Amino acid sequence: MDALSYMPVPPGIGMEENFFSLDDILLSHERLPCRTESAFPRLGFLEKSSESRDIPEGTKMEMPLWLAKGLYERKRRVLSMELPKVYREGWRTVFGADPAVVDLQKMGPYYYGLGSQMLHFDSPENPEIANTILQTFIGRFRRTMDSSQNAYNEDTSALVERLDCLERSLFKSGQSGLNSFQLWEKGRSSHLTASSLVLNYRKRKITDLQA
Amino acid sequence: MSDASDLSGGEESQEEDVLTPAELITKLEEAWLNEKFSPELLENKSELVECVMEQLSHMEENLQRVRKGDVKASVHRMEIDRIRFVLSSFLRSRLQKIEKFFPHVLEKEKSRADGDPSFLSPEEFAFAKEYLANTEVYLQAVALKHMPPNLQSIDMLKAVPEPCLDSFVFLRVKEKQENILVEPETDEQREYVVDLDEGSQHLMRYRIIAPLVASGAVQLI
Repeated sequence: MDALSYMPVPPGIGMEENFFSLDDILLSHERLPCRTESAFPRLGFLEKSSESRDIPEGTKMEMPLWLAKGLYERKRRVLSMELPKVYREGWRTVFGADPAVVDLQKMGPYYYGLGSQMLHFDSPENPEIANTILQTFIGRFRRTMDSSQNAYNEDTSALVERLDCLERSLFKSGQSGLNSFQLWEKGRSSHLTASSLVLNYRKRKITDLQA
Repeated sequence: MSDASDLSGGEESQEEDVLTPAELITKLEEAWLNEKFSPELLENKSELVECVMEQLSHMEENLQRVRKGDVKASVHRMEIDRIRFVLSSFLRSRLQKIEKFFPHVLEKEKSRADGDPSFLSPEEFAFAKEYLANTEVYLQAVALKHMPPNLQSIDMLKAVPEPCLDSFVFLRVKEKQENILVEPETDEQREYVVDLDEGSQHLMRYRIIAPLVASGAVQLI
């Protein structure tokens, strides 16, 4: 059983982000297209393509999620967010048609997380986006669960390559459950093994030191 | 379970109603399962823990007096080990939840009225306070002291995620309940009312049945 010696903070559920979660921190680095509604004086260095010292009003640029969430206000004086390609009408119909064949790793490895965070930006299409994300997850879940429970002791890279990060963590916990059950069946569940931390640090044995 | 009463033969009179050892162990197992499956920290059961510890030391004493090589001794020893495992697993899951939700647990403890039963035993309270102090010192030394001066504080209540009361739990009903209000989950549903019959098993959000778990009317499985 992999009982870790520390408890990593899981990514947040729904529209919440957990402050200490590494997955959420990596997620918030994704860039989103947006349009500035007011001028940003002397911040021209953020926009690589323009040479001016300030960013005039109405520029289209890309901002990471953490910056966009901080600057966005309901009265919309500062930024207006556009949806990334994957959450727009065209791709939504693709997801509706058959969610299981889409390569979510290519579409941005944090499809579900980023989609949930996009709901903060008050787009008029929010209910449809939320519904699409939910239906995509429902459509893909069965296959993920099946493959994680039936791939014992084999190379799973072909199964995992089209999954996004949330599905990968589900796959991993399914695999660890399967492995633990197999260990229990073989009677080796109380077999003491070296902890993964020790193996990673690769402690030198006393015999090697003395030699 | 009849072995326990057979060997130790004592009854605990620490509480108003006298419990046989068999009932005590059943109560411990129920508290253990509830604590394991509930997403938040449940009420403190320190009297139960103390009774079980006394019971265990009783049983150990009795085992010393039995002659060696008797088959019954090994069976009783196994029973002692099992009870000890259940007890330590119970305490371990409480400690894990305290570590996971430490600012919220301390906040709840601070804001409860004087007459209410406490959620933490005195040792657990000291543990939680130390954990908070240590985490703050650690974050300060590792990251915060290098930040610009107006950003050097961190609000733990907002940073640490709250227990998710909306997670689904399996439960078995022990006492019949009527008119439990179930909130709608999606926009198409409306809230509806269910009756819980005795002995039936359900899968529901924890938030709905949280007060029933505290009162002992349902058992999480």
